[in-house]
Amino acid sequence: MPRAAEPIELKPSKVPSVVQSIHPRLKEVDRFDAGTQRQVGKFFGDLTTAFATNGKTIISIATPNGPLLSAVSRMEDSTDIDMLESTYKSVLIEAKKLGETTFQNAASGLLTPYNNQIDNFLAAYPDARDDQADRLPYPDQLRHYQKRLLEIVNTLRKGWATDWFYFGNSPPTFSTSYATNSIEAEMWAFWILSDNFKPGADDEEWPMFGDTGLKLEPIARRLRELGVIDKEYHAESWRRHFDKDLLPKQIDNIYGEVDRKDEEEAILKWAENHPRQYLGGNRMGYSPRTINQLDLTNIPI
Amino acid sequence: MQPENGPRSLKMASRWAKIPAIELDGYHGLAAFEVPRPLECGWWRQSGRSAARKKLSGPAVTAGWPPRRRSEYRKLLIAAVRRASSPDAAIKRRTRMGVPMSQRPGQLTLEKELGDFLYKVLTGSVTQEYRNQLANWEIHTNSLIACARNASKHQKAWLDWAKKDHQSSVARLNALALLGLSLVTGPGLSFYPGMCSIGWSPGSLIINTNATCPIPNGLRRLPIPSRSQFIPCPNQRVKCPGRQNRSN
Repeated sequence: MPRAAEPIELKPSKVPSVVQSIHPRLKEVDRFDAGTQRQVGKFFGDLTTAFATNGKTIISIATPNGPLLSAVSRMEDSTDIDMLESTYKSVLIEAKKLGETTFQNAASGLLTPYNNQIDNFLAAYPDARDDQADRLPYPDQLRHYQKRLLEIVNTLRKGWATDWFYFGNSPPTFSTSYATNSIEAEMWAFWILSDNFKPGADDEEWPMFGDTGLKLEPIARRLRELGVIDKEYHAESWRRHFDKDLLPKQIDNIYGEVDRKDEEEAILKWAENHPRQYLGGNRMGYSPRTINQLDLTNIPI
Repeated sequence: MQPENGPRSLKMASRWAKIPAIELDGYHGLAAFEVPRPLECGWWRQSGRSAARKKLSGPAVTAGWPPRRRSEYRKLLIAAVRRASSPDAAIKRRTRMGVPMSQRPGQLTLEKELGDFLYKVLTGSVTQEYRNQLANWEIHTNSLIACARNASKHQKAWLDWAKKDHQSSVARLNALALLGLSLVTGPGLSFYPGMCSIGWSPGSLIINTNATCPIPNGLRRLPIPSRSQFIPCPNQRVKCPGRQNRSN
């Protein structure tokens, strides 16, 4: 007779705070597992840090204690996803203001070191001044020097793209369904670790029960849906062929229900070693943007 | 064609010298500055070389002017254009009389227009480019946050289902345990009313008690008499009313 014959009292107060904090609050950002003496992980804290890290890269042009830095620090302190969203919006707004001000200052003060003389400005760049152009008619001369100025602006843009993250890099493309599945799998891994699964009785090695009183079987069912565990039927390959949003199989020794000790341990091991991709910020990748050369033909002036 | 009847403009001169007009088009201002145009030197009015030389001055005036042949005129024109387009001449022109370009009336407009152009490029195109980049990042971030919200919603829903399923399974197991218990105790329970029906109920063995036969309602054949009908007697067994009636 399985142990479940004894009525197990569900204790809502013992539901891991990680689960409680998913919605609407993500209170537990950081968690230390006293049993294993290690850091279990940050839940949305990693996501926040990833955002903040990307936000920090534009600080090179920010003034100390400026509004952008304040916004970034507020974002790092976010404890729930709503707060994260709102603070990240404020970061983008501040970054937008700062960038526009910087461009404005650059436009206004570009000629200042050159005594406001376009002659001197052009002379600072090699080959900017063209003697041939001085013999051209005025419209052609103007056009010629406009082209030269655009070359200089293109050089400046390349420098800005190197220094400013948001200006020089583009976000990666990703499938939202796959990302949702991946984030959910990572959440399950966190949840399993947080629920502290252990054998129900001292003299028995399995089944294991978490603090919520749940066994691993219903979790494994969801992991099957997500693709982490294979569904054991002949059409599994077809399922994977047609559903590209399924996650790759990561647990391969579970047959049927989770009713053996090694199967439970496989799930626990997966939860421990599952890479934090989205929540860990690894999917917050970027690709360097191709800086298209501005020309007189493609500027809206 | 003789020079006296030659071209009256540089365009005509270039045509006459068989230099393509497009080659001279960008240089006509310079060429006109350096090369004495037929109209200016007035060689069509005066006759004789001396009169023409008298009028002319500058580096373009060379010996042999005015040319007599078309080929000579062509050579002079080409040489003048080359002189005008040399870098030395350009530098000389630009720094003529030591006046900076920005202070000359013709160049002030160029500088102002270039400054305006630079300002517009930086505050217009480049700023818009930056805004577009930020918008792309904002879309990306919003997508990620939406994915995280959906994932947490799915996980929460599944967890709720798992809890309910767990509770219902516990209830099911409890019911199963009750069923097993009833299977074990069922025969005993069914034996009890049978014993009662023959007067061997446990209550009938109890002396000096008011126990009636505790037969469940469904098994009763007759209404149970009221308590006052029984007279407690220590030496007499209390008869079950069913048996009493049956015997009657």
